[in-house]
Amino acid sequence: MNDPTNNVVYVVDDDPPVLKAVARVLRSAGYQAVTFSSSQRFLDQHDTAVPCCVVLDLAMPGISGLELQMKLAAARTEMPIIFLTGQGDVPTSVKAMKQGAADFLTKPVEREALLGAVRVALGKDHARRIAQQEMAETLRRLSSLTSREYEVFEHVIKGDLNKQTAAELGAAEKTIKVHRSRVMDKMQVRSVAALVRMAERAGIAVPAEEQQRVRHSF
Amino acid sequence: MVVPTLGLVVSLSVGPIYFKTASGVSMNLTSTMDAAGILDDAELRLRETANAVPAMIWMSGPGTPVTFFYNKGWLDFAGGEPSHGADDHWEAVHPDDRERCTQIFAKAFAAIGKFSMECRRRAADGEYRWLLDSGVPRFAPGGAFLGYIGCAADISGQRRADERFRQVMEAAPSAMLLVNSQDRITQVNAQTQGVFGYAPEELIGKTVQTVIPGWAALAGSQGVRGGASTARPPSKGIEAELYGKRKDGSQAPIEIGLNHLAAKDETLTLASVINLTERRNMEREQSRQRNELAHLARVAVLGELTGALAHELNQPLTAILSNAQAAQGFLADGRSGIDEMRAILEDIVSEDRRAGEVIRRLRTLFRKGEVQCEAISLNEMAADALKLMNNELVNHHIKVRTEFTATLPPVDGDRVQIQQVLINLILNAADAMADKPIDKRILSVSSQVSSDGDVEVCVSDTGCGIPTDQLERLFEPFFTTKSQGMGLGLTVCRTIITAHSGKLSASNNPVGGACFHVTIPPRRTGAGV
Repeated sequence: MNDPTNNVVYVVDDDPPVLKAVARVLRSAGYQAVTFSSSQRFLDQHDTAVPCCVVLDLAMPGISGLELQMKLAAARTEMPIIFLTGQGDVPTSVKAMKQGAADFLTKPVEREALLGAVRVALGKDHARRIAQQEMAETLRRLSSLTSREYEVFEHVIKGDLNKQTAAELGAAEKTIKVHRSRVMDKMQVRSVAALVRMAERAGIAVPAEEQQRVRHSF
Repeated sequence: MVVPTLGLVVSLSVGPIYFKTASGVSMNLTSTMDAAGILDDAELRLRETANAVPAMIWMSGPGTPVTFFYNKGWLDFAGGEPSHGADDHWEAVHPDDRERCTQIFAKAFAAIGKFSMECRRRAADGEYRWLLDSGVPRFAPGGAFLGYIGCAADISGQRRADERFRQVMEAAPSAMLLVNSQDRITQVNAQTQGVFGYAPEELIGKTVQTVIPGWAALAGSQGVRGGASTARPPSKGIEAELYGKRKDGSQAPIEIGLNHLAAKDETLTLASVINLTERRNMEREQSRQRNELAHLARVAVLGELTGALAHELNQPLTAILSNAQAAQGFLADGRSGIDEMRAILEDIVSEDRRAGEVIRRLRTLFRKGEVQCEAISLNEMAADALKLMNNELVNHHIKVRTEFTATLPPVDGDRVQIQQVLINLILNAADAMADKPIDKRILSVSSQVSSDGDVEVCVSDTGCGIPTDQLERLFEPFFTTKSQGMGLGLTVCRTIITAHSGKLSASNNPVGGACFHVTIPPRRTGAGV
């Protein structure tokens, strides 16, 4: 994550000299800067596959910065956005931040401020990508469970003991124990706490008292 | 009262002697000859003839004390019993004229010369009339002086006309000078003193060039001078502006109106002179106030534009800072070559110049003070205004279309004020389209030469247009359709364009929206650009 050369910073500004200069600042810190002179060009050409963030001018002809932010959100493109604007008025910045902007900088921008914001934004993007990968992996592992194993999994993360689970599912405790060990194997975890954490990250509801109990177990 | 000289003349008057004439009218004859009882036939015939003439005639004897003979016309005028004595002759003259007249008469009599004088004389009804009394000496065939014969004409009518003329001159608000064909001032009114500093009596008889040095050229060019043969309208008012020379030697700007008055024997010129100093001061003050108002309106516009203008400056500043700091970053890492550095420095220089341009355009707007008239290109002005407003227009999602005629002739004007007008019109157009969908907001700015040769710039929008009954009211002070705004913008714009001898008008586009036309005559040919 910390090797800037692997990261792309998109810059969108309708003012060519500013676009060029901002890109230079980013390149001087080792980032790959890719420039677009309008929101439309960016929408048409940018690549979301690589770790990236975008430095976005607010006031542009055609699609403005705020509109582009909304379009990206609508397309579920969760790329961190750093707004760079000449007019940092409060209502606009509040709106931008509410819409999930990573940062809101005013022109002229100090190199360190820009690079700092980019670093944080790329960090967020990196974390987001890792989380996405984790989730994909978790879901892949979950999908490998049989329906019986999935039922047992649900009881385990609720914090039920094998005896309780066996009673509810109408199976022998011994059988449940075997299922449970298979779940742990397939999910590639060694402790119930790790399994609960994984379930949480994958967005699977974990009862509050169990979360409480699991945390205390650390 | 009677002066000593007159006293001498009249002291030895002789009583009247009456003759019956052929016409049956009694005549009184008083002369030394009469006194001797000798009246030759010639003298009798003369007197008979005089009585037959329908005019006021008097005759005198050659000696002193002077005795007078009057004809019927005279007696009809004077009324009462005829008298021959000088005392009675002069007693009927108005007391204010008496001394002057007796002196004129005594002087002429002593020299046996002609005389002519104007005086008021009491008529039969007791009223005084103005008479023009002229006398010539009479001589016998042998050359002996026989006395005077004179004729008096009632000139009251003319005197009244003269008096009315004098009163009219005095009542005129301007200084009036009556100048004869020899350029001599013959009459002035009291106002002349205010303009030239001379008392009225000081000017009478002086040449008009004393106070109006440019008279010759003025009058000459207008055919005032020159002989009566010169073909010219008998009475024509002309006006010109030149300088008057005051008594203290100073100069005053004056405006002169000339009128030719056909008098009996010559053409007089009546000059009406107005001191322009005050008018000039007033015009200067008006112009100052107009400029002040224009400046205030400009400041108000700037207030509206602050955000946009700050952005215009911010862009190059951003580029400069980022370029410079990028260079520092490259140098710290030693990662970049000389070519990159060179490119960065070039960009810094060009962006600095760009900021300078913004400042220049801004300073033009902020400038306060004298209007500077110079040759300007309305294309350039319009392009400059659009550049200044670029951000404002982008923020309002307004598309700009320009259609400039490349061969547009320059106009005479003040950059600041013209730009102010264009910015105002562009701002108005932007406001007018605020309620339109984003893709329907189009600002068109075009320039062309109008059918009558004027330079025209049109600022057109795609807003909702202007109700027909408001097309002209728009330019009235404090008329506004905006919730914010004083309603002075267009008023000031029109004032500015009018001061440039141009016109500012509004119309509605056939396809919707309003269009403002700025029309200014082209710079006068011959003037360098």
